[in-house]
Amino acid sequence: MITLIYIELLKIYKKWRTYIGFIAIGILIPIIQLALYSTKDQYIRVLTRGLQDSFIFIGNLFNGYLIAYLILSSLFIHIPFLIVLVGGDAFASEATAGTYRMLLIRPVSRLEVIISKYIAGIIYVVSLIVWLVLLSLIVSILLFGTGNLISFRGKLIIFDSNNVLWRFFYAYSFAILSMITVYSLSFLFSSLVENAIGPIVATMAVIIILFVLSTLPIEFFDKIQPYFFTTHMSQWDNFFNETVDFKEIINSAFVLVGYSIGFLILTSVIFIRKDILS
Amino acid sequence: MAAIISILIFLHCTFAQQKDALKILNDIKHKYDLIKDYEVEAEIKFDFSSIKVPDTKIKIYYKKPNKTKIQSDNFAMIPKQAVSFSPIDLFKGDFSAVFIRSELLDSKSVDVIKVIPNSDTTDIILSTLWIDSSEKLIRKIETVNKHSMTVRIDLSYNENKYGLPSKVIFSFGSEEKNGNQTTQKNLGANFRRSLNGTVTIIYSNYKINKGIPDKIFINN
Repeated sequence: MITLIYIELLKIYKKWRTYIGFIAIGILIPIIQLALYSTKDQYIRVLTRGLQDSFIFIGNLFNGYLIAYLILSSLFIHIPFLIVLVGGDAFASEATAGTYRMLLIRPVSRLEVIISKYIAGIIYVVSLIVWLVLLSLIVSILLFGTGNLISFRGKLIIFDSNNVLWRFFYAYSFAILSMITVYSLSFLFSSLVENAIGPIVATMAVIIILFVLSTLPIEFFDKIQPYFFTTHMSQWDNFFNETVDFKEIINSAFVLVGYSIGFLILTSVIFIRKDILS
Repeated sequence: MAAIISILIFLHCTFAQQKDALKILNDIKHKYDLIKDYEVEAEIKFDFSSIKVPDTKIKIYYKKPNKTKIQSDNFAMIPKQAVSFSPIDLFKGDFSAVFIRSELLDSKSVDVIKVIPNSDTTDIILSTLWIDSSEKLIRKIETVNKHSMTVRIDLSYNENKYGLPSKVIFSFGSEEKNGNQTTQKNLGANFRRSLNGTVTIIYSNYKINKGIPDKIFINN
């Protein structure tokens, strides 16, 4: 199995498409950091404008933690589009290249092929998020230093600097779980067709539709929103609440794991029964 | 004749009870004039519905006439009036002071004085002070600023020689009604309207008139 995973990893990382996500993050984050570096603490001044009449602020609120939080907030909704570039390619690229038969005549079961592709995909997801952490958190800390984290949740919350890193650790971990669910959906679509464009576009369309329906403040959708996996993807933000609702987060994590396993089982059923004609 | 005498007696009694507001304020000012410098540790606790800030410990340095320095290992948010608590700051500039009445505050007799700036450029439009004239201590201050925000400052003392407080409670209250939902965009403006809560500062380890070198205030 390890050999299979290694081979699948080679397939993923030898395609230039894989690096689009890394390049996009690698370009976007330095631009954001540069823009914030040039505006200095203007963001903080705007955020605390009404308080500056009555209070003096001491210390560094404009620090690496804040930058990392801002980047994660703004990029989180777009990272799925980078994930599907690889997920949508998982099976479809084999069909396009005509390598399905060669792959399946080897002495490995179809299930092993599916699992190895899935694990390789998860490693890609983790590596992309680690790249995000490296650029957004580590580089921001090096550039802007550390300090207390200012967060807005209908009220202004300032977290002690010793009370921040664990929140990021769990938030990024939850982001990985969310992105694995996205990968699983594109993985499923990829097993259905023989061209990678279809599953990429289809996954994007599903995510956009569900994101919109998840956030629409219409009573009609209130009852069905908890069943959309996109509703639960934003739970990473819960770690930056004053009181973290672990019960709600664990519930969302179970929903995402459930969806991921569901998509994987469905993919397995489809692929094992698939008649290879290419 | 009897009526005239009655009126004279009434007027005499009335004006005899009126106190000189400026004299009371100057007595306080003279007491603070004894302070050349001080350093003090302060613990700040916030209790606001719209802001959550961790408790902070800071160190404040003050040197006459107006040098202040705050040291803090972490982020600190400090009420402006708490940095260099001195009535000289309160009474600087052109103002009118009016004695209102004497009353009991926490079983202590205090004189209530209203201070109104004569300039229309100051942020504070009215200050009311509750002054313990016998001890020459300010027990309570209430200020109203241009944004209709009321700040009440309750002061407690452990020592009386210099009149520096051991505990100060700042109570912020806004009279403006805030009908808008607070979002990140209107946060700044809405804070001013919805700033309701208290900041408690406990001062300890005063070192008064021990001499503070000027270099401490460099890069402030």
